Amino acid sequence: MQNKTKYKVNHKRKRLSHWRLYLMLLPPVIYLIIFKYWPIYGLQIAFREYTPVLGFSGSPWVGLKHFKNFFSSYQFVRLLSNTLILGTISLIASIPCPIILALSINAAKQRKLAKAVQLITYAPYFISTVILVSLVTQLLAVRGGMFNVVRGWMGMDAVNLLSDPGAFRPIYILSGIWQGTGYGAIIYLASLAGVSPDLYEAAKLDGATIMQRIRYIDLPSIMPVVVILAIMNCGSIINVGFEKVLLLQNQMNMSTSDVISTYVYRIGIGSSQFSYSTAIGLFNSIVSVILLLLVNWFSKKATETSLF
Amino acid sequence: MNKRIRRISAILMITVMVMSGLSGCGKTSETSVNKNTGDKKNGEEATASTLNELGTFPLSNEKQTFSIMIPQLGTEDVTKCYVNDAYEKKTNVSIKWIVVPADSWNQKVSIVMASGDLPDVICGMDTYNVTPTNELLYANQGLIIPLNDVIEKNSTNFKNLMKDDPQIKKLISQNDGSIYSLPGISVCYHCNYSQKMYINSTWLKNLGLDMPTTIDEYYNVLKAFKEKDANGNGDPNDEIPLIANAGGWHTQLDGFLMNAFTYCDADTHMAVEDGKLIYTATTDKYREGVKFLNKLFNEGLLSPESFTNNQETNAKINVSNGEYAMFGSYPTAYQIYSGDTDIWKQYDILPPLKGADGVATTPNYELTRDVIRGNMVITSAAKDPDLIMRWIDYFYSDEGTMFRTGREGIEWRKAEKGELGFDGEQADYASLQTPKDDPYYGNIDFSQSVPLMYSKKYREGAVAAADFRDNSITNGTEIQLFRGTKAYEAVARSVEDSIPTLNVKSEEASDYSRLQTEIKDYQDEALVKFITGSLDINSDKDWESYKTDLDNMGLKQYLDISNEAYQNYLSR
Repeated sequence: MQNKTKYKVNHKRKRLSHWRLYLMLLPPVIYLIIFKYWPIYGLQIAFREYTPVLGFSGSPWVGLKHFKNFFSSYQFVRLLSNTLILGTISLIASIPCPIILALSINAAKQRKLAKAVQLITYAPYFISTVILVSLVTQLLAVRGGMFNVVRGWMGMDAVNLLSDPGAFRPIYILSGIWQGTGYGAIIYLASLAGVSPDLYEAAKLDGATIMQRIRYIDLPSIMPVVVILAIMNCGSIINVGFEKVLLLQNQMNMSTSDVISTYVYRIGIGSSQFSYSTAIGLFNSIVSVILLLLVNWFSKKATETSLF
Repeated sequence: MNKRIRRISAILMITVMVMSGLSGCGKTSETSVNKNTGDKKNGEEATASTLNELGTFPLSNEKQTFSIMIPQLGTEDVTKCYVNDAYEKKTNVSIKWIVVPADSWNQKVSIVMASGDLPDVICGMDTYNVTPTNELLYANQGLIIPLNDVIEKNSTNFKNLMKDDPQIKKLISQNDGSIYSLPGISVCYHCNYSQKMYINSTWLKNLGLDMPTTIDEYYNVLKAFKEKDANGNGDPNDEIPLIANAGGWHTQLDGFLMNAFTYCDADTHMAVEDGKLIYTATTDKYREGVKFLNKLFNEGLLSPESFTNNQETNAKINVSNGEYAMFGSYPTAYQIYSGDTDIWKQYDILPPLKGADGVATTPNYELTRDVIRGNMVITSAAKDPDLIMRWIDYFYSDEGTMFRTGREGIEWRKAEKGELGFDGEQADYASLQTPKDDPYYGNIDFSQSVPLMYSKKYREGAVAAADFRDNSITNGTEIQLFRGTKAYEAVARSVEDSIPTLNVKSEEASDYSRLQTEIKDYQDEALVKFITGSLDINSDKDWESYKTDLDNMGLKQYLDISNEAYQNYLSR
C-alpha cells in the first residue's frame, strides 16, 4: 500500500516536472491550430459561391461547379503541364548541385578557402525574390544588360531572353540553382560532419583515393538525407515559386510561364473569384499530396528509405 | 506513457479551445455593443440638435468625431494633410482615420464587412469595385444604411447637383430608387476620349515632315523615324519609331492604331451595333489591323520591348539620351515618359488617323467616367449620419472644391481679368506650386477616395497658357490634353453607341468575371503572338483556330450575359 501511494506521488511530480516542456509546446500547437487547421474550415467555399457578406457557411452551395469549370477551361492543360514541367525540372536540377558543393567543401584541405566558398555560395539565399528578379532583368536587358553587352563584344546581336518562351524555364531554374545551392549544401555538410573519422582513416590506410572515399564513404552516408529531402520537395513540385514566376512573367512568355499559382492569382485576387481560386488551390493541394505519397511509396520499395 | 501524452494533449486542446472561445466571446460582445449603439441611435436623434443650422459652419458647437476607413493611395497622408487640419477647424469635427494599404484594401473591406466591426464611414469603395449588386447585398445585411432621407434632410449642394444633372441620380440608385452610396463627380474631358497616341513633333520638324493624318502617312513617318537621324544626335540607329508598354491606361497596341481599320475599344473589344453588343476582335477588319501591326513589327518599326517593358523602364529609356528623345510615338492616355525632364514637350497628341476608307474613329468613355459610383458609404455603426452628410456635402460645392485645392496665394490664385481658361473664356483661378519648404508640401488634399466634385467649370476655369510648353506653368500636360482631345471628340462614337458599366445579375456575376478575365487574357496573348509572328496572321488556319479557341472559352455566353445587362440598362 505504502509503496503504491509513493509511486503515485512520484508519478504526479514527474508529470508536473515537465511543465516547461509542455509550455514550450504550447505556442506551436496554438500556431498550428489557428493558422493551419482553422483555415480548413474555410475550404468549403470551394464548393460554394462565396460572397464576403454572406460569409463562409451562408454562401449558396454549388457543389463541384468550380472544379468542372477549371477542368474544362481552355487553360487547364497548359497550366497543369507548365506547372509540372517547371516543378519537376527545377526539383531534379536542384538536387545534384548542393550535394557536389557539400562534398567538395567537405573534402577540401584548405579549411579557410572552404569556409569562404561556403559563405559566398550561401549569401544569395538571403536576396529577396523581388531583388533577384530585378537583378536577372538587369542582367538580361536588351539595352545595356551585361548578357547582351558581352554578346555585342563577340559580334552577336542582342536578344531579348526575357520575352522568349523557350528561355523562361532555363532562367527560372538557373537563377534558382544560383540562389539555393549554398543553402541546400548546409544540411548535407551537417550530415557529413557526423561521419566517423575512423572510416576515413581506415580508407586511407587501405590506399583509397579521395574520389573513392567520396564514392564509398561520403555518398552512402548522406544518401538517406538526399532521399528524404527529395521526397519532401516532391510535395512542393506543384507549388512552384509563385513570386518569381509572376515577376518574370510577361505577355510574350506566357505559353511557358503561366502556372497554376499565377493563374489563381490573376483570377482570384485580380478579379475577386474567391471560390473559383479556392477550388483550384484545393486541387493543387490534392495533387501535391498524391505526388508525395507516390514518391514516398516508390522510394520505400526501391531504397528502403521513406518519410513514413 | 502514451496515455499520458494523450491526456496532456487533450488538456492542451481544451485550453486552446477555451481560449479561442473566449476570444470569440470578446467579438460577440463587441458586436452587441455596436448593436446597442445602433439601437440607441433612434433615441439619440432627438438630441442630435447639437448640430448647427444646415449650411453654416462650424457644423456643431460641441467637438464631434467620427471614423473613416480609407485606402492609402499615392504618398499623401490624409491624417496630416492641409485639408484635414483646416476642415477640422472649420467644422469642429475631427476625423479618426483608419488608413489601409491599397494592396490589402479589398481583403480589409471584406473582413470589416464580414466581422461586423465597422467604421462609421468607408471611403474609396469604388476602389473595392463595389458593384450595385454587392452594394445591395451589404444593404440587405444592414451593414450600410440608405441615404435618401439623410441626403434630403442634410444636403444642399449634393441635392442641387442631382437636380441639375438627373443622370447622376440614375447612375447611383438601385432599381427601386434607393441610394446607398455617395459618388465622386469628376468631369474629365480628356478621359472620355482617352485612347490616344503621342507623336514626337520635334522629330517631325527635324525631318521636315507633316503631322500624319492617315494610317499610310503614319507608316511613312515611322519609316523615316527609323531610317534617318530623327533626334539629331548624329546616330541614325538609336531612334525607336513606335513603342508601347506592358500595362497602363490605354497603352494597348490595338487601341489607337486599330481604329484606322475598324472601331476598337481595346479594354473590352466590344461595340454597340444595331442596339446590340458585338465582339470586335474576331472580325476580318480587325485581322487587317493586326496584319498592319505585324508589318510594323517585322520591319523593326515597332519595338519588341513593347511587350516586356513596363512604364518606368520605358520612361527611363526615353530620357536616357539627354535632350535627345528615344521614342517616335507611343499609345497612352497621358504622357508618362518624361520624369523631371522636358522631353515630354517634344510630343504632341496625334489626331485620330483615317484608314483606307477615309474614316477615323475613337471610343467614347463618357458613360463610365464622370460619376465615380460607390465612392463613399455610411455604415450602420455611424452614430450620427446627419453630421456625416453635412460634413461631406460641402465638398459637392464649387467653394468646397476650391477649399480642397489648397490655400489661396499658395496653391492657387484668382485669375486676373483677361486671363483665359481652357475653354477660351475668362478664367477663374490659376494653380500655383506649393513651396518645397512648406509643411504641407505635396500633402494638400485627402485622396480622391473622399468624394470630390471636379465640375466642368472647375476643370476648364483654370488659367490655360496659350502655349502648353510654357515653362512658367504647372498644368502644361493638362492644357495639352484638353486641346489634343478636341480632334478625338470630333470623330468619337456617340454616347448612345457607347457602353455603360454593365450591371450583371448577381447569380451570373462570378461566371461573368471569370469569362471576362479568361477571354481578355487569351485575346491579349494571341494578339502579341500574331504581332510578333509566333502565330501567323496571314495563315487562315491560325486565325480560324484563334476564333475557335475564343468560342470554346465561352465567348458566346460572355456576350449573352453582357447583352442582357445592356438591354436592362437601355430599358432603365
